[in-house]
Amino acid sequence: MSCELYWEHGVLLDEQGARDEHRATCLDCQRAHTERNALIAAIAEVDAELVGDPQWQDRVWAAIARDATPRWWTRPYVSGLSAAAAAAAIWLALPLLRPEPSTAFAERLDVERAGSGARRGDTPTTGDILHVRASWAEQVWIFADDQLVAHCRVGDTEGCAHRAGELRADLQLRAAGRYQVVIVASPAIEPGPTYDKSLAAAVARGVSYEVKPLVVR
Amino acid sequence: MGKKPVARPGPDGAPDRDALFRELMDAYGDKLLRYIKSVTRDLDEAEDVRQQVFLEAYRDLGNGLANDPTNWLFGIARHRALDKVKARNRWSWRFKNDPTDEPVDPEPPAAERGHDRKIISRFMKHCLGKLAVSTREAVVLRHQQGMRFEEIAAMTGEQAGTLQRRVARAIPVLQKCIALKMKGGL
Repeated sequence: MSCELYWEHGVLLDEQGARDEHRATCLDCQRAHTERNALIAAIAEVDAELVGDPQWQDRVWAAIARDATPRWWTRPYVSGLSAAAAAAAIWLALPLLRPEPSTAFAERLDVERAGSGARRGDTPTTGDILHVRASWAEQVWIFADDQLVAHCRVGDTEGCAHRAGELRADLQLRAAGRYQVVIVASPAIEPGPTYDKSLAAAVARGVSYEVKPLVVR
Repeated sequence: MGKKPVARPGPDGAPDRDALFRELMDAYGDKLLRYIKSVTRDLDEAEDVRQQVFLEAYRDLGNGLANDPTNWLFGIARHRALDKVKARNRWSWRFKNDPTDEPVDPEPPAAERGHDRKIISRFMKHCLGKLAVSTREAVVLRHQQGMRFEEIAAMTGEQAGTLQRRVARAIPVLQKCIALKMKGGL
C-alpha cells in the first residue's frame, strides 16, 4: 500500500477502529498516519477558544419567562369568547377554509409500496404504508373518509416514532377511500372523532395546521 | 460523550427542573455553540440557534427527554442550525442571485506566522468551510465533539458506516486544501 493508498483505504480502517497491518511495515504510511493525526488535532482546535455572549443564559431565562407570561388573549374570558366566536365562524365557513397543501408539506409525506420499500409519490393503493414526518412541536392526525384513524405526537407509541426532535407517523392504508393528513402546529390539542370537529378544535385554539388530501385506490 | 446531569431534588423532594436545566446549560452551552457555529459559520446566528435550542429544551424537559441529553440537545441543535442555513441560502438565492459566500478568514498576521499549529488551525477552519454541510457536520461531530459514529448515526438518522466513509474521505480533502493554503493558494 503506497502513501496514496493510505489516504484511500488506511484512513477508513482507522476510522473503523480496525488494525492496518500494512501500516506497521510501511514507513510512508506511518508518515501519512502521523500527518493525519496532526490534521485531526487541528480539527479539534478549530474554535476551541470560541467565546459567545457571556449573558446567554440570562437571555434564555428571559425568553422562558416571556413564554410563561400569559398574554391578554389567553385570559379565560377573552380566550373563551374568542374560542366561541371562532368555533361559530369555522362551523359556517369550514368548507371554504380547508387550506391547499403546500410544497413543504408534500415533502414531509411518503407512500411506501407494501413489501418493496419503494416510494412513489401520490398514487397510493391499499396495503401501502403512509409515512408522515413532523417536529416534536407538532402532531399528526390522519383521517379516513373523515374519521380519525391515526394520531401521533410526542409520547405516543403506536404507529408513532420520535427521535432527535422529529416525529414519524406510520400508517398502513388498509382500505380504499379519501384520506386527509393533517399536521398541527401544537402537540397540545386533542383531535375530535371526525375531520371537521378536529379542525374546528384547532381553529378555536388559534393553532395553525396544514392538510394534504389523499385518494387511496 | 458528556456527563449526564442529575436533577437535584427541590424543596418538595421532586427533581428541581430549573436546577437540572441550569446544569444542562452549563454542561452543553459551549459545546453546542461550537457545533452550531461549525454548521452555520456565523457566530450571531449560532448564538440565536443556541438560545432557541435551550428554549425548546426547557419546554420538553418535563417530558423526561433529558435521559440522553447529548443526543437530545445536539438533535435539536442540528435541526435548527440546518434550518438557519437553508433559510439563509433561500434568502441569498431570492435576493442576491449569487451563491452564499461563506466568510473567509483573513491571512494570519505576521506575528502568528511562526506558530504552525495556530496557522494550521486557522487554515483548517477555512478548509472545513469548503466541505459540504453534511460532511463538515460529520467531521466536526467526530473529531471536534468526540462523538462515536453510532451516536452521530442515531442523531442524524444515517448509517454509521456511511458516516465513517464520509469522514474518512474528507480527511485527505482537508489535507490537500491545507497544503494549498500553505503554498499561498485558495
